[in-house]
Amino acid sequence: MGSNIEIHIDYLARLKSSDIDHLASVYNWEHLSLSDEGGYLWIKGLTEQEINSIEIKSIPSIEQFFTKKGKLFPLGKLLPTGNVPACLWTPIKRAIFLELPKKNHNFFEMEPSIDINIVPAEQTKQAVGHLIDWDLFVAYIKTASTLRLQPLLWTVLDGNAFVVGNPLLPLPGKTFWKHQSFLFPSGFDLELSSLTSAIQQKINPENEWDILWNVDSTYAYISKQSYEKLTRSSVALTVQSLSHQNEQS
Amino acid sequence: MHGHFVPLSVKDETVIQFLHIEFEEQKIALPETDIKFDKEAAYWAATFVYNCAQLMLNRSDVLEKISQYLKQYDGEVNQSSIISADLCLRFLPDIIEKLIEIDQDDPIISQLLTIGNAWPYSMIPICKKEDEFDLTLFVEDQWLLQIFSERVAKFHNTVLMKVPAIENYYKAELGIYKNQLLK
Repeated sequence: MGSNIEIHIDYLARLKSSDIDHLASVYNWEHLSLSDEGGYLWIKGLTEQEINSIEIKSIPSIEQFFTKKGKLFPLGKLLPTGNVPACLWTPIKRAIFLELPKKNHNFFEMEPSIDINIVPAEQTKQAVGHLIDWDLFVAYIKTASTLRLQPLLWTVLDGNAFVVGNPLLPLPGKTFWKHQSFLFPSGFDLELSSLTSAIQQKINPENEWDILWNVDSTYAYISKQSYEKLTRSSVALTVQSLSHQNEQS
Repeated sequence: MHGHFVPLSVKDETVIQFLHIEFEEQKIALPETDIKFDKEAAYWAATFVYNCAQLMLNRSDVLEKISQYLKQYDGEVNQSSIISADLCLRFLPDIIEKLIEIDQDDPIISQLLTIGNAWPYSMIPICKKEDEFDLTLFVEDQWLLQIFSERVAKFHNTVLMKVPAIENYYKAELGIYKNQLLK
Protein backbone atom coordinates (compact mmCIF):
# COMPACT_ATOMS: atom_id res chain seq x y z
CA MET A 1 0.00 0.00 0.00
CA GLY A 2 2.83 2.29 0.85
CA SER A 3 4.12 2.04 -2.74
CA ASN A 4 0.88 3.59 -3.99
CA ILE A 5 1.37 6.77 -2.00
CA GLU A 6 2.72 9.42 -4.27
CA ILE A 7 5.08 11.68 -2.48
CA HIS A 8 4.42 15.26 -3.47
CA ILE A 9 7.49 17.36 -4.11
CA ASP A 10 7.35 21.13 -4.30
CA TYR A 11 10.13 23.31 -5.48
CA LEU A 12 11.01 26.56 -3.78
CA ALA A 13 13.63 29.18 -4.37
CA ARG A 14 15.00 31.92 -2.14
CA LEU A 15 16.83 35.12 -2.90
CA LYS A 16 17.80 38.27 -1.11
CA SER A 17 15.07 40.93 -1.05
CA SER A 18 17.52 43.42 -2.54
CA ASP A 19 17.74 41.33 -5.72
CA ILE A 20 14.04 41.73 -6.46
CA ASP A 21 14.76 43.47 -9.79
CA HIS A 22 16.20 40.23 -11.15
CA LEU A 23 12.76 38.64 -10.98
CA ALA A 24 11.83 40.54 -14.12
CA SER A 25 12.72 37.49 -16.20
CA VAL A 26 10.14 35.31 -14.42
CA TYR A 27 7.51 38.00 -13.98
CA ASN A 28 5.30 36.45 -16.65
CA TRP A 29 5.17 33.00 -14.98
CA GLU A 30 1.81 33.79 -13.45
CA HIS A 31 1.48 30.58 -11.38
CA LEU A 32 4.33 31.67 -9.06
CA SER A 33 3.73 33.14 -5.61
CA LEU A 34 6.06 35.33 -3.60
CA SER A 35 6.59 35.90 0.07
CA ASP A 36 8.89 38.30 1.92
CA GLU A 37 10.33 36.75 5.06
CA GLY A 38 13.20 38.12 7.11
CA GLY A 39 15.14 39.80 4.34
CA TYR A 40 14.59 36.94 1.93
CA LEU A 41 12.13 36.52 -0.91
CA TRP A 42 10.64 33.06 -1.30
CA ILE A 43 9.29 31.81 -4.61
CA LYS A 44 6.72 29.04 -4.60
CA GLY A 45 5.04 27.01 -7.36
CA LEU A 46 8.04 26.24 -9.51
CA THR A 47 8.02 23.02 -11.52
CA GLU A 48 11.07 20.80 -11.75
CA GLN A 49 11.77 22.16 -15.20
CA GLU A 50 11.44 25.75 -14.06
CA ILE A 51 13.71 25.45 -11.02
CA ASN A 52 16.49 24.27 -13.32
CA SER A 53 15.79 26.92 -15.96
CA ILE A 54 18.28 29.58 -16.95
CA GLU A 55 15.88 32.31 -15.80
CA ILE A 56 16.02 31.12 -12.18
CA LYS A 57 19.65 30.06 -12.17
CA SER A 58 20.80 33.42 -13.45
CA ILE A 59 19.43 35.29 -10.40
CA PRO A 60 22.56 36.20 -8.33
CA SER A 61 21.62 35.23 -4.75
CA ILE A 62 19.31 32.37 -5.69
CA GLU A 63 19.11 29.24 -3.57
CA GLN A 64 17.02 26.33 -4.85
CA PHE A 65 15.10 23.95 -2.59
CA PHE A 66 12.66 21.11 -2.77
CA THR A 67 10.22 20.15 -0.03
CA LYS A 68 9.19 16.71 1.06
CA LYS A 69 6.84 16.00 3.96
CA GLY A 70 7.11 19.57 5.23
CA LYS A 71 10.89 19.54 5.25
CA LEU A 72 13.06 21.82 3.22
CA PHE A 73 15.94 20.25 1.26
CA PRO A 74 18.54 22.18 -0.77
CA LEU A 75 18.29 20.98 -4.36
CA GLY A 76 20.44 17.89 -4.89
CA LYS A 77 20.98 17.30 -1.15
CA LEU A 78 19.54 14.46 0.93
CA LEU A 79 19.51 16.19 4.30
CA PRO A 80 16.88 18.81 5.09
CA THR A 81 18.05 22.20 6.31
CA GLY A 82 14.78 23.23 7.91
CA ASN A 83 11.02 23.33 7.68
CA VAL A 84 8.94 24.80 4.90
CA PRO A 85 8.50 28.45 5.79
CA ALA A 86 5.02 29.28 6.96
CA CYS A 87 4.31 32.64 5.48
CA LEU A 88 1.78 34.58 3.44
CA TRP A 89 1.98 33.93 -0.29
CA THR A 90 1.07 36.54 -2.86
CA PRO A 91 0.77 35.93 -6.63
CA ILE A 92 3.83 37.30 -8.37
CA LYS A 93 1.85 39.79 -10.51
CA ARG A 94 0.50 41.40 -7.36
CA ALA A 95 3.71 41.18 -5.39
CA ILE A 96 5.85 43.10 -7.84
CA PHE A 97 4.80 46.42 -9.30
CA LEU A 98 6.05 47.40 -12.68
CA GLU A 99 7.63 50.79 -13.05
CA LEU A 100 7.98 52.31 -16.47
CA PRO A 101 11.14 54.34 -17.04
CA LYS A 102 10.50 58.05 -16.82
CA LYS A 103 10.68 60.05 -20.01
CA ASN A 104 13.42 62.61 -20.40
CA HIS A 105 11.81 65.28 -22.48
CA ASN A 106 15.07 67.02 -23.20
CA PHE A 107 16.75 63.98 -24.67
CA PHE A 108 16.23 63.35 -28.39
CA GLU A 109 19.40 61.48 -29.27
CA MET A 110 19.93 63.80 -32.22
CA GLU A 111 21.12 67.28 -33.02
CA PRO A 112 18.46 69.98 -32.93
CA SER A 113 19.39 70.86 -36.53
CA ILE A 114 20.55 68.85 -39.55
CA ASP A 115 22.83 69.73 -42.43
CA ILE A 116 21.24 69.50 -45.85
CA ASN A 117 23.68 67.96 -48.27
CA ILE A 118 23.58 66.99 -51.90
CA VAL A 119 25.24 63.63 -52.50
CA PRO A 120 25.70 61.33 -55.52
CA ALA A 121 22.46 59.39 -55.96
CA GLU A 122 22.04 55.67 -56.38
CA GLN A 123 19.51 55.93 -59.16
CA THR A 124 19.54 58.18 -62.19
CA LYS A 125 16.31 59.86 -63.09
CA GLN A 126 15.26 61.35 -66.39
CA ALA A 127 16.55 64.89 -66.83
CA VAL A 128 13.90 67.59 -67.28
CA GLY A 129 15.97 70.74 -66.74
CA HIS A 130 18.90 71.98 -68.80
CA LEU A 131 21.24 74.87 -68.07
CA ILE A 132 22.83 76.04 -71.33
CA ASP A 133 25.49 78.61 -72.09
CA TRP A 134 23.73 81.72 -73.42
CA ASP A 135 25.65 82.21 -76.69
CA LEU A 136 25.43 78.53 -77.56
CA PHE A 137 21.71 78.55 -76.85
CA VAL A 138 20.96 81.62 -78.97
CA ALA A 139 23.02 80.30 -81.87
CA TYR A 140 21.16 76.99 -81.77
CA ILE A 141 17.69 78.52 -81.50
CA LYS A 142 18.23 80.73 -84.55
CA THR A 143 18.06 77.73 -86.86
CA ALA A 144 16.37 75.16 -84.63
CA SER A 145 13.21 73.37 -85.69
CA THR A 146 10.06 74.54 -83.90
CA LEU A 147 9.13 70.89 -83.54
CA ARG A 148 12.04 70.45 -81.13
CA LEU A 149 11.14 73.61 -79.21
CA GLN A 150 7.39 73.30 -78.85
CA PRO A 151 7.29 70.95 -75.79
CA LEU A 152 9.78 73.10 -73.84
CA LEU A 153 9.67 76.08 -71.50
CA TRP A 154 12.58 78.36 -70.80
CA THR A 155 13.81 81.24 -68.67
CA VAL A 156 16.97 83.28 -68.28
CA LEU A 157 19.02 82.28 -65.24
CA ASP A 158 22.12 84.16 -64.22
CA GLY A 159 23.19 84.87 -67.80
CA ASN A 160 22.43 81.31 -68.91
CA ALA A 161 19.38 79.83 -70.53
CA PHE A 162 17.43 77.34 -68.42
CA VAL A 163 15.20 75.01 -70.42
CA VAL A 164 12.57 72.75 -68.86
CA GLY A 165 10.70 69.88 -70.51
CA ASN A 166 11.19 66.70 -72.43
CA PRO A 167 12.92 65.87 -74.73
CA LEU A 168 15.64 68.41 -74.01
CA LEU A 169 17.74 70.13 -76.65
CA PRO A 170 20.81 68.38 -78.11
CA LEU A 171 23.25 70.87 -76.60
CA PRO A 172 26.02 70.59 -73.99
CA GLY A 173 25.15 71.89 -70.53
CA LYS A 174 24.21 70.82 -67.02
CA THR A 175 21.07 68.74 -66.70
CA PHE A 176 18.69 68.48 -63.77
CA TRP A 177 15.98 66.09 -62.67
CA LYS A 178 12.89 67.06 -60.74
CA HIS A 179 11.47 65.83 -57.44
CA GLN A 180 8.42 67.83 -56.40
CA SER A 181 9.57 71.43 -56.81
CA PHE A 182 13.26 70.57 -56.41
CA LEU A 183 15.55 70.41 -59.40
CA PHE A 184 18.67 68.37 -58.56
CA PRO A 185 21.78 68.04 -60.73
CA SER A 186 21.58 64.78 -62.68
CA GLY A 187 23.09 61.96 -60.64
CA PHE A 188 22.67 63.76 -57.32
CA ASP A 189 20.01 63.72 -54.63
CA LEU A 190 19.47 64.97 -51.10
CA GLU A 191 21.49 63.01 -48.55
CA LEU A 192 18.24 62.59 -46.59
CA SER A 193 15.96 62.23 -49.57
CA SER A 194 12.98 61.20 -47.45
CA LEU A 195 13.03 64.71 -46.01
CA THR A 196 12.34 66.25 -49.42
CA SER A 197 8.78 67.17 -48.51
CA ALA A 198 9.78 68.56 -45.12
CA ILE A 199 12.58 70.68 -46.55
CA GLN A 200 10.31 71.89 -49.31
CA GLN A 201 7.72 72.86 -46.71
CA LYS A 202 10.44 74.86 -44.99
CA ILE A 203 11.93 76.79 -47.89
CA ASN A 204 9.06 76.77 -50.39
CA PRO A 205 5.82 76.50 -48.40
CA GLU A 206 3.55 78.10 -51.02
CA ASN A 207 5.09 76.02 -53.82
CA GLU A 208 5.43 79.16 -55.89
CA TRP A 209 9.08 78.55 -56.80
CA ASP A 210 11.17 75.92 -58.44
CA ILE A 211 14.27 75.28 -56.34
CA LEU A 212 17.46 74.70 -58.30
CA TRP A 213 20.08 72.81 -56.23
CA ASN A 214 23.79 73.04 -56.93
CA VAL A 215 26.28 70.27 -56.29
CA ASP A 216 27.74 72.32 -53.39
CA SER A 217 24.36 72.08 -51.58
CA THR A 218 23.36 75.68 -52.23
CA TYR A 219 20.09 76.45 -53.94
CA ALA A 220 18.46 79.14 -56.04
CA TYR A 221 14.85 80.19 -56.45
CA ILE A 222 13.23 80.25 -59.89
CA SER A 223 9.81 81.85 -60.11
CA LYS A 224 7.33 79.52 -61.77
CA GLN A 225 5.86 82.52 -63.55
CA SER A 226 9.16 83.32 -65.21
CA TYR A 227 8.94 80.40 -67.65
CA GLU A 228 8.04 81.19 -71.24
CA LYS A 229 7.18 78.82 -74.06
CA LEU A 230 10.35 78.18 -75.99
CA THR A 231 9.96 79.65 -79.48
CA ARG A 232 12.37 81.28 -81.87
CA SER A 233 10.54 84.59 -81.49
CA SER A 234 10.55 84.60 -77.68
CA VAL A 235 14.32 84.06 -77.69
CA ALA A 236 14.82 86.67 -80.40
CA LEU A 237 12.76 89.24 -78.46
CA THR A 238 14.72 88.49 -75.28
CA VAL A 239 17.99 88.98 -77.14
CA GLN A 240 16.68 92.28 -78.48
CA SER A 241 15.57 93.58 -75.09
CA LEU A 242 18.82 92.47 -73.44
CA SER A 243 20.95 94.29 -76.05
CA HIS A 244 18.64 97.30 -75.64
CA GLN A 245 19.30 97.28 -71.87
CA ASN A 246 23.05 97.08 -72.46
CA GLU A 247 22.94 100.10 -74.74
CA GLN A 248 21.14 102.15 -72.11
CA SER A 249 23.47 101.25 -69.27
CA MET B 1 -20.36 96.06 -101.13
CA HIS B 2 -23.16 93.51 -101.19
CA GLY B 3 -24.39 92.80 -104.66
CA HIS B 4 -21.64 94.31 -106.69
CA PHE B 5 -17.99 93.68 -107.09
CA VAL B 6 -15.56 96.39 -105.93
CA PRO B 7 -12.20 96.06 -107.66
CA LEU B 8 -9.07 97.66 -106.21
CA SER B 9 -8.24 100.40 -108.63
CA VAL B 10 -5.68 102.50 -106.78
CA LYS B 11 -2.55 100.94 -105.33
CA ASP B 12 -2.71 101.72 -101.62
CA GLU B 13 0.73 102.47 -100.15
CA THR B 14 -0.46 102.24 -96.53
CA VAL B 15 -1.33 98.59 -97.13
CA ILE B 16 2.21 97.94 -98.24
CA GLN B 17 3.58 99.79 -95.20
CA PHE B 18 1.37 97.75 -92.91
CA LEU B 19 2.45 94.50 -94.55
CA HIS B 20 6.08 95.55 -94.26
CA ILE B 21 5.74 96.11 -90.50
CA GLU B 22 4.00 92.75 -90.13
CA PHE B 23 6.71 91.10 -92.18
CA GLU B 24 9.47 92.43 -89.93
CA GLU B 25 7.60 91.39 -86.79
CA GLN B 26 6.93 87.89 -88.03
CA LYS B 27 10.41 87.38 -89.44
CA ILE B 28 11.91 86.76 -86.00
CA ALA B 29 9.76 83.66 -85.60
CA LEU B 30 11.39 82.07 -88.65
CA PRO B 31 14.73 80.31 -88.72
CA GLU B 32 17.51 82.78 -89.36
CA THR B 33 18.07 83.56 -93.02
CA ASP B 34 18.59 86.54 -95.27
CA ILE B 35 15.11 87.48 -96.52
CA LYS B 36 13.76 90.88 -97.45
CA PHE B 37 10.24 92.17 -97.74
CA ASP B 38 9.02 91.52 -101.29
CA LYS B 39 6.65 94.39 -101.97
CA GLU B 40 5.28 93.01 -105.23
CA ALA B 41 4.50 89.54 -103.92
CA ALA B 42 2.94 90.86 -100.71
CA TYR B 43 0.74 93.32 -102.55
CA TRP B 44 -0.27 90.78 -105.17
CA ALA B 45 -1.29 88.34 -102.39
CA ALA B 46 -3.21 91.05 -100.56
CA THR B 47 -5.27 92.02 -103.63
CA PHE B 48 -5.78 88.40 -104.59
CA VAL B 49 -7.15 87.49 -101.16
CA TYR B 50 -9.22 90.68 -101.15
CA ASN B 51 -10.84 89.69 -104.42
CA CYS B 52 -11.39 86.13 -103.32
CA ALA B 53 -13.04 87.26 -100.12
CA GLN B 54 -15.59 89.18 -102.16
CA LEU B 55 -16.65 85.97 -103.85
CA MET B 56 -18.43 85.02 -100.67
CA LEU B 57 -20.51 88.18 -100.79
CA ASN B 58 -21.02 88.60 -104.46
CA ARG B 59 -22.34 85.71 -106.50
CA SER B 60 -23.48 87.42 -109.71
CA ASP B 61 -21.36 87.89 -112.80
CA VAL B 62 -18.61 85.97 -111.09
CA LEU B 63 -16.80 84.50 -113.99
CA GLU B 64 -17.08 87.53 -116.25
CA LYS B 65 -16.24 90.27 -113.81
CA ILE B 66 -14.11 88.84 -111.07
CA SER B 67 -12.13 86.31 -113.02
CA GLN B 68 -10.21 89.00 -114.80
CA TYR B 69 -8.84 90.18 -111.47
CA LEU B 70 -7.70 86.74 -110.39
CA LYS B 71 -4.27 86.52 -111.99
CA GLN B 72 -1.22 84.41 -111.32
CA TYR B 73 1.71 86.19 -109.74
CA ASP B 74 4.23 86.86 -112.49
CA GLY B 75 7.27 87.86 -110.42
CA GLU B 76 10.14 85.69 -109.20
CA VAL B 77 9.29 83.16 -106.49
CA ASN B 78 11.96 82.83 -103.80
CA GLN B 79 12.31 82.76 -100.00
CA SER B 80 11.44 86.45 -99.63
CA SER B 81 8.41 86.39 -101.93
CA ILE B 82 7.04 83.19 -100.37
CA ILE B 83 7.13 84.70 -96.88
CA SER B 84 5.87 88.11 -98.04
CA ALA B 85 2.95 86.65 -99.98
CA ASP B 86 2.11 84.35 -97.08
CA LEU B 87 1.20 87.37 -94.96
CA CYS B 88 -2.16 87.41 -96.78
CA LEU B 89 -2.22 84.12 -98.67
CA ARG B 90 -2.39 82.17 -95.40
CA PHE B 91 -6.08 83.15 -95.30
CA LEU B 92 -6.80 81.68 -98.75
CA PRO B 93 -7.38 78.10 -97.50
CA ASP B 94 -10.13 79.32 -95.16
CA ILE B 95 -11.82 81.26 -97.97
CA ILE B 96 -11.69 78.29 -100.33
CA GLU B 97 -13.10 76.01 -97.65
CA LYS B 98 -16.02 78.39 -97.15
CA LEU B 99 -16.64 78.57 -100.91
CA ILE B 100 -16.68 74.78 -101.08
CA GLU B 101 -19.25 74.77 -98.28
CA ILE B 102 -21.45 77.21 -100.26
CA ASP B 103 -21.23 75.32 -103.57
CA GLN B 104 -18.67 72.64 -104.14
CA ASP B 105 -19.24 72.55 -107.91
CA ASP B 106 -18.51 76.25 -108.31
CA PRO B 107 -16.10 76.57 -111.29
CA ILE B 108 -14.32 79.45 -109.56
CA ILE B 109 -12.94 77.06 -106.94
CA SER B 110 -10.74 75.17 -109.34
CA GLN B 111 -9.51 78.47 -110.69
CA LEU B 112 -8.55 79.64 -107.19
CA LEU B 113 -6.86 76.33 -106.44
CA THR B 114 -4.79 76.55 -109.60
CA ILE B 115 -3.47 79.95 -108.62
CA GLY B 116 -3.17 79.09 -104.93
CA ASN B 117 -1.30 75.84 -105.42
CA ALA B 118 1.63 77.76 -106.85
CA TRP B 119 2.17 78.75 -103.19
CA PRO B 120 2.39 75.42 -101.38
CA TYR B 121 3.61 77.01 -98.12
CA SER B 122 0.34 78.92 -97.71
CA MET B 123 -1.91 76.15 -98.98
CA ILE B 124 -0.78 73.34 -96.66
CA PRO B 125 -4.05 73.23 -94.62
CA ILE B 126 -6.25 72.25 -97.58
CA CYS B 127 -3.84 70.01 -99.43
CA LYS B 128 -5.47 66.60 -99.92
CA LYS B 129 -3.08 64.99 -102.40
CA GLU B 130 0.66 65.42 -102.49
CA ASP B 131 0.73 65.82 -106.30
CA GLU B 132 -1.34 69.02 -106.03
CA PHE B 133 1.86 70.92 -105.32
CA ASP B 134 5.08 71.40 -107.18
CA LEU B 135 7.51 71.05 -104.26
CA THR B 136 10.73 71.23 -106.27
CA LEU B 137 11.70 74.60 -104.83
CA PHE B 138 11.05 73.44 -101.27
CA VAL B 139 12.96 70.21 -101.58
CA GLU B 140 16.00 71.94 -103.00
CA ASP B 141 16.21 74.76 -100.47
CA GLN B 142 17.04 73.52 -96.96
CA TRP B 143 15.57 76.61 -95.32
CA LEU B 144 12.28 76.37 -97.21
CA LEU B 145 12.14 72.65 -96.48
CA GLN B 146 12.42 73.44 -92.77
CA ILE B 147 9.62 76.01 -92.59
CA PHE B 148 7.46 73.90 -94.90
CA SER B 149 7.93 70.75 -92.80
CA GLU B 150 7.25 72.69 -89.60
CA ARG B 151 3.98 74.01 -90.94
CA VAL B 152 2.99 70.56 -92.23
CA ALA B 153 3.50 69.25 -88.69
CA LYS B 154 1.59 72.20 -87.20
CA PHE B 155 -1.49 71.39 -89.31
CA HIS B 156 -0.76 67.68 -89.01
CA ASN B 157 -1.27 67.14 -92.73
CA THR B 158 -0.66 63.39 -92.88
CA VAL B 159 -0.53 63.36 -96.68
CA LEU B 160 2.35 65.83 -96.87
CA MET B 161 4.11 64.23 -93.89
CA LYS B 162 4.71 61.17 -96.07
CA VAL B 163 6.50 63.08 -98.84
CA PRO B 164 10.01 61.52 -98.77
CA ALA B 165 11.93 64.79 -98.43
CA ILE B 166 9.72 65.94 -95.53
CA GLU B 167 9.78 62.57 -93.84
CA ASN B 168 13.58 62.57 -94.07
CA TYR B 169 13.66 66.04 -92.55
CA TYR B 170 11.67 64.79 -89.54
CA LYS B 171 13.94 61.78 -89.15
CA ALA B 172 17.07 63.93 -89.26
CA GLU B 173 15.76 66.64 -86.98
CA LEU B 174 13.81 64.64 -84.39
CA GLY B 175 15.59 61.26 -84.36
CA ILE B 176 14.17 58.88 -81.79
CA TYR B 177 11.65 61.51 -80.65
CA LYS B 178 9.93 61.59 -84.07
CA ASN B 179 6.77 59.79 -83.03
CA GLN B 180 6.55 61.58 -79.70
CA LEU B 181 6.91 65.07 -81.18
CA LEU B 182 4.75 64.59 -84.28
CA LYS B 183 1.68 63.53 -82.33
